[in-house]
Amino acid sequence: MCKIYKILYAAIPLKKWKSALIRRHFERCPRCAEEFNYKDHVVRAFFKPEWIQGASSVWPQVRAQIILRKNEPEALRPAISPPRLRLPIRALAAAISAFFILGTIGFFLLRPHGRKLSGPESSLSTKPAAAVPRVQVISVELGGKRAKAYIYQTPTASFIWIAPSQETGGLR
Amino acid sequence: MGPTDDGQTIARCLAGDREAFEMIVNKYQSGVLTLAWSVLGNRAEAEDAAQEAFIRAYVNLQNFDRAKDFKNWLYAIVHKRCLDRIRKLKTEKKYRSRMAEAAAPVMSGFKTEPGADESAVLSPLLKKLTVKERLAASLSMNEGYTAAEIAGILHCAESTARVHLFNAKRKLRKGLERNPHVQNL
Repeated sequence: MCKIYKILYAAIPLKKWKSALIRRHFERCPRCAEEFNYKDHVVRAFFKPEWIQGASSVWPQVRAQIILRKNEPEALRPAISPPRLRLPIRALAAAISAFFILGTIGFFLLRPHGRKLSGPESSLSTKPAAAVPRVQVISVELGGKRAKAYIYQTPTASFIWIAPSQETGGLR
Repeated sequence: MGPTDDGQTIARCLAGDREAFEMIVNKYQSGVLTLAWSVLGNRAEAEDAAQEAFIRAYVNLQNFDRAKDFKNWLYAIVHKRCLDRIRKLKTEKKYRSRMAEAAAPVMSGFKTEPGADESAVLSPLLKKLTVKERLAASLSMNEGYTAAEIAGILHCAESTARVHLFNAKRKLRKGLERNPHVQNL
């Protein structure tokens, strides 16, 4: 048997792929086919034991059973069980896993932004600054001269610095 | 008796001629027994399974689609019966082992006799094969069935049947190579 295909056959996990390999190679390659049908005559003997040729007919027993049942051919119940509704377990498991993975990713992506403050920051209110009334300085005079005002506003307090106008700084 | 003869015999059976079924039993008995024995590996069990299969076939003859091959239909029933018997045997085995454990202190002085018909037991070579592999190999070797026909009996995909058949042959080859008696054949 071609060694590389033998190794490949052992390594392949799926039956369909194995079957493809059998069809494409093992059944076509003369070397493999020869080994594949190795001593068929011997093997056949294993499957056809001698006692079967001399076995007595089972008809008397079958007949007795048929008479005992008193049934002419009729459908009591199917000889071969009807195909059961098999849930595709693997597909179901894959779908559930995919659902959970997507759900988790979606939760982290779509959750409202804004991280929780920790330590001293956590004591501050998380209320957005826009909600706090803003201080507005229209005009400031310092010693009779126009001055500049600097406002620093936190969510809880407002600080205003006033500086002479020659100083640089932004009026707010 | 060909497939058309089968059709005529089946028609007679369905018309109420019970004895016509004997022809079918006699025609297929050898194949059915071989198949059952290949799967079950025991003569007594194989004969029981064959009987059950024939009875089941007779009772359900109305369900048989006459456009299809009767032999394949019958073999599918045999396969099903064999699987049922294997299930039953497993349960019995469990029960027996429990009983044996319970009776061990009492029965310790007795020796059990070996099976009466050892020749009718499956060879160790075939025991290495799975049930489906044995069935596929038996159908292929004895009846010349193709992978597609085997798939029809096993109720599986053709690719699966092909893999069963290939694995069976591979295992048999390995087994034969290790057996010095078979080397010279």
